[in-house]
Amino acid sequence: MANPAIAVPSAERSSSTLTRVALIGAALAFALAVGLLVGVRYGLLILIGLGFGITLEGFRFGFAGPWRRMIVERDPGGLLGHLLAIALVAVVAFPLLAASGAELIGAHAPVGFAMVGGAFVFGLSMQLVMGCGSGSLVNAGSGNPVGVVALPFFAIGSFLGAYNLVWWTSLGALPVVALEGTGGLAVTLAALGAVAALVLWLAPSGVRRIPRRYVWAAATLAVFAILNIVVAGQPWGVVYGLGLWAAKGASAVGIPTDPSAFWGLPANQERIAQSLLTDVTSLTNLGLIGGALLVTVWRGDLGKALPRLPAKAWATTIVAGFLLGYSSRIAFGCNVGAFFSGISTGSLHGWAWFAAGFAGSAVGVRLRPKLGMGG
Amino acid sequence: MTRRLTAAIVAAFVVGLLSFDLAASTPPDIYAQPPAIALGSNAAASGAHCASLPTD
Repeated sequence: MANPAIAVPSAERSSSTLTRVALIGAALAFALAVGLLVGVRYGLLILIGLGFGITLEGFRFGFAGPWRRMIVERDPGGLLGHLLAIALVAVVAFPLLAASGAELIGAHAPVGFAMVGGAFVFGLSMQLVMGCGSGSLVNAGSGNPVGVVALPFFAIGSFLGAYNLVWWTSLGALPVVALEGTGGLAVTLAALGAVAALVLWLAPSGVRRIPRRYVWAAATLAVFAILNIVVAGQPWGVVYGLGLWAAKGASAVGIPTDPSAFWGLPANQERIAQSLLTDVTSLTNLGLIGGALLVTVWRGDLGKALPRLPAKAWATTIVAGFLLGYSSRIAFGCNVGAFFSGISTGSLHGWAWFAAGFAGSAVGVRLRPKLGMGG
Repeated sequence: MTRRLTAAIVAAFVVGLLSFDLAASTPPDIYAQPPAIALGSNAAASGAHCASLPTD
């Protein structure tokens, strides 16, 4: 309930309302313009990205924070929310993938040395900047200065990680293993249930639950993730788009991309030549930033003072931002593309990513104070 | 300083990115757009994803 003693003056309130309406109108107008001038699918993907951003920032439902709380406080609420969201997506995605032929694809990739190592480094780095793949975009959209500084280095790292991806994968990788059909779904749900039981067993008795906020967040996130598959034909991802932004920049300043075994592929050369407004992950990434900005303005949080961090913290942010991008490419995805989308579409690499990323997070949590990032 | 500054920087970054993209890329062709929804389109998924193998 509003406290009359700190009531907002009517002029300021109406100005705030005007700003909210203008921003929402601009976001919808942008999606409409993309839909009309570039393609209906692309406009829909902007809206889905806005949904991701509004959900994550609106419910304050990220990945790095809940993993940190599980590691430090044994509070499983957020992690259980992740498992719930993944299970909800899996229940819909498995039958869709089984029935749709080549129209829809899962986030399937091989488990390998570099993949596991990359996931470990990503988990460590995401705890340093308290932002993962989606989290870095949401943090930047909400005006969090650590997110703003980390994001461009994330993009550069993603570009360079993809540039060297084939070399890293050649160090050793298993064939792609993807669970499919009803049997695959049953195994996936059973494994998610087993992890949930383990974290509940590890948690103190007073916090053995999912807060209602996280249940709503998980359900909403699952809806947008399913829409992403249905509309785009592929699961929700983040880091390809960020790498593509840097690849386009590199190309523009004369750095050749075709010597790379990855960027030199015809499909990727075409993506570099085409507009970002036709790239699936770029569109949802832009939506994530916009959705987070909308929620931040709606809450009136733009007036928050910027933190004073030591130089060591900013250096850590730059290095960790770069590592987030580089490691997520050699790991075949971040917490979104590998952990969330990989597991929910049956890929074994999603589970390997989860284990290695969580182990990396446990190290990252302990490194934070030593690198000036706070406790 | 407040988050107004950093949010404005991000907004400027997005506007700059899109402006650069539209200037440097092949112009989008509205007549070459894919079906609005992939499911039921009978068209193979063609988007790039971070889990995609380099040989795809």
